[in-house]
Amino acid sequence: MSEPTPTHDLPHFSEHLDFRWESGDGSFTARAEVQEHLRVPGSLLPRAGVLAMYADNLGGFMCSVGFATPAPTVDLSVHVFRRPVSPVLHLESRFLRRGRSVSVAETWFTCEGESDPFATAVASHMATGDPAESAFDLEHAKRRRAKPTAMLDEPIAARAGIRAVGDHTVELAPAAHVINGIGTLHGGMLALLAEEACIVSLAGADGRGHVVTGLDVRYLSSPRVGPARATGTALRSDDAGTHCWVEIVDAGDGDRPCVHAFATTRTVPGPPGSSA
Amino acid sequence: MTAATAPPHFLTHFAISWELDAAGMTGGATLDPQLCLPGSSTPRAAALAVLADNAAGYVGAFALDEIAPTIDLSLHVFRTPSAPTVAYKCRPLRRGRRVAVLETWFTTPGHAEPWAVSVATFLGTGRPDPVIHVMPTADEPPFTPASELDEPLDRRLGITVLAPGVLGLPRRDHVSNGRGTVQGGIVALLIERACESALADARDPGGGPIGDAQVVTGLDVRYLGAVRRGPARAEASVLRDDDGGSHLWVTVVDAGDDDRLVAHAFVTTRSTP
Repeated sequence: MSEPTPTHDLPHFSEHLDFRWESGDGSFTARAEVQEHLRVPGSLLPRAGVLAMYADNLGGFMCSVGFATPAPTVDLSVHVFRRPVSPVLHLESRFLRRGRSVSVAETWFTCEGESDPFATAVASHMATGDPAESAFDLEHAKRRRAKPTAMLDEPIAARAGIRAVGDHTVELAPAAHVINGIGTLHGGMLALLAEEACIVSLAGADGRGHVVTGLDVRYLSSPRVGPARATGTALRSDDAGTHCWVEIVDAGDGDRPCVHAFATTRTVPGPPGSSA
Repeated sequence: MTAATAPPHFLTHFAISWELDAAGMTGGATLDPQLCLPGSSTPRAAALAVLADNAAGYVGAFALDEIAPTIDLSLHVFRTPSAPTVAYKCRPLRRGRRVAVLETWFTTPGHAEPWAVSVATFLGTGRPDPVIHVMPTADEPPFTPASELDEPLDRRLGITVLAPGVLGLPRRDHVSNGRGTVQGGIVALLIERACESALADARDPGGGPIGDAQVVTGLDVRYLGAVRRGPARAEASVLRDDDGGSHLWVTVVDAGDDDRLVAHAFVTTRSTP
């Protein structure tokens, strides 16, 4: 068995996203080819947590540029309502609200060759303060965009370092490859952690396969010490799917609440990990 | 001829009772039959949103020291209650300097397991609002006495169907919040009715009653501005509709203020037998 790669040698997770974004007047757009290990196994559907990463990046950039300061995410919801027909996606973020302290960005996910989206996301971002003291580093984001796509040889959750620590609980330690521009765990990565907690807890409960099709994530505070520990609780489960409630705490900081999320799943035939 | 009497505040039709303490709010309500789904005792999702916005608004006001506007509210109904009497608990998830996030769990009285959950975010302005608002106390409970909704829901609210999936709602005092604008839950109710209209038309174009065999089970509403002039106009678009349920996207504008965007929502429905 080989030793795991030290996390400081791993590419930043955003380099796996093939995230070619452009800024425009009132909206940001992007094109991305979603590689296999970012998708639901055996499917073209990006994981809900991965869609959250795209939305958090694109909408977050747009809001940060608007504020001229970093713009931490207050909340983010993802809704998947159709199966994608291609791994090549077009993303467009636009402002729903452009306020002085809070902006709301909507991101539509559309497959190449189609005009209607298969998923949408909405996120609120908050300005952090005085641009003179904490300016948003757009050039850094552009340099990262210019890097070639880093291909994954394992699922994104494993690469991130998410590990199960119980039947309903998963953890993720802060590391350079999973943090955001202000040095804390990226909002999209926390969404993926919530998704993992949901899937792990449901697999333990009923042994069926589940695909997360809806995420409603509230960012309450940043995990500063870590690891971030996510625990999922099934609220309802039937043949069609489930609702799952997830709490993420900073396990290294007295279990301080950090994230609160609801996940909606659809049941798929077969065991956990089956295709959508 | 007698002068028209102003209708009682809309929240009196919920027969609300609650207690506030340091941990949040514990409440109960018995919904007027017209706030339930047609022909059933199941509360409408938006009726729960009205309760959640009210409860979280008060708890959030204590957290932020001001009556703060709702910036978003999501509601997830994952089991079907069979009675119009509900119990709820609201607690803060985050008490920031400017932002408060509140969670409200809905249960059947006497039972601990929730059947619906709402999460809402409130944003403090840092500026006292000119609208004077008195916080209710146990001696002066809110929205009392409870009153019967003695005319159809749409008529009482002034909801009009402008086109399939497009509905209007005037701004009136009896649907206002502590800031004098349309209460967030009422905006959610307009959104729910617009979805019902859009789905009814999608399945039976040009006909069929509003309120098809679809039940709203998920609301994700972003409040982008206040309805200051009115009427509010909601327009629902069906994103996907199949045997299991549907997803819709809804925009709400202040039609009296140059169609300024005031809310945006995603709505999920499930088919009923």
